[in-house]
Amino acid sequence: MPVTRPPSLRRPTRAGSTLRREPDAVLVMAIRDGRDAALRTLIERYTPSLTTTVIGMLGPSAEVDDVLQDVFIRFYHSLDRFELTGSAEPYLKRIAINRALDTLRRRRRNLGRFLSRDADPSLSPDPPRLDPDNLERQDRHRLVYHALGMLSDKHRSVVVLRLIEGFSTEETARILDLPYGTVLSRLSRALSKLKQTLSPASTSDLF
Amino acid sequence: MRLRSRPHAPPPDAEFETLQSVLREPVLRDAAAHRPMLLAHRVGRALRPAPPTATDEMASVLSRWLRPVMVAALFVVLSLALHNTLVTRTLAPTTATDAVMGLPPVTLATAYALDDDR
Repeated sequence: MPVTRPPSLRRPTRAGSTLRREPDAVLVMAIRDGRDAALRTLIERYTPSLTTTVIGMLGPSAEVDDVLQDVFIRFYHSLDRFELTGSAEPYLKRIAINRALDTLRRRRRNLGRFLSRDADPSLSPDPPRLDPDNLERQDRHRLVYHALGMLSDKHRSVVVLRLIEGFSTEETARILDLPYGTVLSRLSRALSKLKQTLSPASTSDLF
Repeated sequence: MRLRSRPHAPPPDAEFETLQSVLREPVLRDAAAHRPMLLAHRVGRALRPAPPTATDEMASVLSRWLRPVMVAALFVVLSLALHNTLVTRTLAPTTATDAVMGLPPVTLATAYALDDDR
């Protein structure tokens, strides 16, 4: 989609530090102009937020960096297909969720083929064995990731965006390109499942 | 992203908030501790075309030089094929030379019947 570039962007003298204050739409146009600094700025701006999304979806794993890299590469390649007027975050989040879902599917396929189910807590039907009286922080972490892993893909993406990242239901619906009611119903089912998974092993401490 | 008001949306209750804080704590902690290694550099390198190596350069030069040769060779081969086809179509059982010299058409039988002493 052809975009008229503002004259200021044609000047090659603008410093990279100035780009940090520019809105996403300006950065995107600068990236289309081939300015590496604009791409770097966009990456620095959204890496923390996208890291939360990807870790929420995958758990802390070695695949997180690869997914993040892929998100920005795909965003770059899709720049000509849309005109950005507001924030780039919803686009980046949607790509991140989709890439994380692809990774989860690949992980399941590989694990199902080569490894036992015990290798991945998100695939194991049994919760981690925890002593409710001595639930350390690390155990809680494991329990939370296990509970997230027990959710279906569509429920997990809603939970990550709505509960963990704190987007509103409407923002979540926009990011996932779903109707508002669908997000609400998925969230409701996911909450039930989470409460079921997180109890009774640790509910005494968690709730 | 601009929000519109949703007066009918259910307000988050205490259980929701508790569950939210339980889920957020480990994920946000892990995300804050995670430092993607040289992400901008890796993305930039992946998007930039790789610089040509010496082998790529040599292959490029050779293919540039050999391209006319290949075209000429292809032309020669096609011409020969066409020529052979035409010659085969017009080939008489007895050639002009055979006719002038009064020779019989050369077949396997006449070849065996030739007198070796002649």
